[in-house]
Amino acid sequence: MSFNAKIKAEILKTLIEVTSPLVSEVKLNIGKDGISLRAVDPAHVAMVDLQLNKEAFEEYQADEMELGIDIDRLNAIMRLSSTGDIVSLEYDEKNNRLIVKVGNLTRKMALIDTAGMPDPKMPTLDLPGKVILKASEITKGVKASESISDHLALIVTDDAFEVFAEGDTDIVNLKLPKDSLVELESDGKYKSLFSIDYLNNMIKPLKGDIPITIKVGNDNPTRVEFDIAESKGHVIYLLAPRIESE
Amino acid sequence: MVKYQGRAKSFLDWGERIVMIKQDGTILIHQPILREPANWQPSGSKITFTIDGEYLILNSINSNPVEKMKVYFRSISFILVTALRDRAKILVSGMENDLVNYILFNPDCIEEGFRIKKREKSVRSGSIDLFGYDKNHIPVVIEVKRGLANINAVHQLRMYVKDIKKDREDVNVRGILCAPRIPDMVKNLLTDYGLEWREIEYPTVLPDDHQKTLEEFSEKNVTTIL
Repeated sequence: MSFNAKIKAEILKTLIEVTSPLVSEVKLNIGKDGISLRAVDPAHVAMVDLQLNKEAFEEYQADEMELGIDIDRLNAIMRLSSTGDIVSLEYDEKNNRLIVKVGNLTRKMALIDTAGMPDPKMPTLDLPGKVILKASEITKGVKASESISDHLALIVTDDAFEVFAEGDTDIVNLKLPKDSLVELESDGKYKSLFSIDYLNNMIKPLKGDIPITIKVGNDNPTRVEFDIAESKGHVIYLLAPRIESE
Repeated sequence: MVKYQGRAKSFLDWGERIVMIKQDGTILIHQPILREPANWQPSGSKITFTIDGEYLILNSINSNPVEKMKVYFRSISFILVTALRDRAKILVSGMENDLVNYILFNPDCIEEGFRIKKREKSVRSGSIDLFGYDKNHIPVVIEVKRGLANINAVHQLRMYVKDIKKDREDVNVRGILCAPRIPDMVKNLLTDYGLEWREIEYPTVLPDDHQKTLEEFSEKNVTTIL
């Protein structure tokens, strides 16, 4: 079995950024057409599903297999890489290692047994409120709310998308009317509350003005989707809601 | 002035106090300092008021054990009457059980390959917190303390290890004391007895009952499909 690939450092860093807040170990599903992973945090509050097509790689050649990756170890070497670096990944079957090369630096990383690692199922959710907006807008809303509360509401109505947070003394409200959104689809008002800690982790890999899709229901999880690696990869993020305190 | 008769007898002379009567009959009589009340009556005590000359008397009787308290008032500077609404229960983290659970779900914090076989295993001298086997299949007894481990914990562990050795006619039994902090004196004693220790820091996290999990929504979907 073989896996040989070259990828831009920043794409691999995005993969780490998306995954590491939720889990310390992850199973990479290596396929002929690319790689994918799905992880749920230990509290079962958030799920991330990431696809990276082989076109996102500079070079890609692989058989179907699973690699158990210790994210912290991969991160340790990726921290030493710079934007623009090309990272080479090679599976060493004999020693069950992943050989990671960044420039002249090589790390032969021991792999983790994937036998005990879970295959989380993605729940099918009915989320009737849908918006597409610029990533920078949601980042602004979460950052503004973070200083006053530990949770915020995502609200989709038939003519706007809102982020609303209420602290002990202050209120933050980001209201984006339909014409400032890329897209809005909603037949009424949908509202759910979410933990800002989790949202913060989710928005970290969002860069600039890439479009992101947010789906909201009433007291239901939210489903956030965005492209990575110049649309050659895709991330789906599910986050369970908080319930209103009495 | 407070007179009490029950498990003991007490008399508290005149003074300025705060008397708190809770909705369940609990009474607390606080002096100006210290955390503990000077006198108190438990939940479920029956309360009546009487007037004796110039004094107002609060009578409280608890039935099991029989405890009678009389609180004499000669002047009242301030009365607050309110019905509190509060359905919350206090959640406490950082108890011994939390550390036992932590080890149960993270057996690698003891050592690699450690497997837990039983929690609360009864032996002659008591109950072993955690019992398991190391990677060489040697029995391991684990005693857990939530705070600073003391000498008593060492003796407790020693007795448990002895019991297991007797039961299994096995000379090779390991004993490990686990606590967030273990003083050097205790470590030395453990070494003398051929026992081991692990200092384990564990996260004290309070359950957050406002946060839902994704599983709750997966289940809902399963039932709607069915």
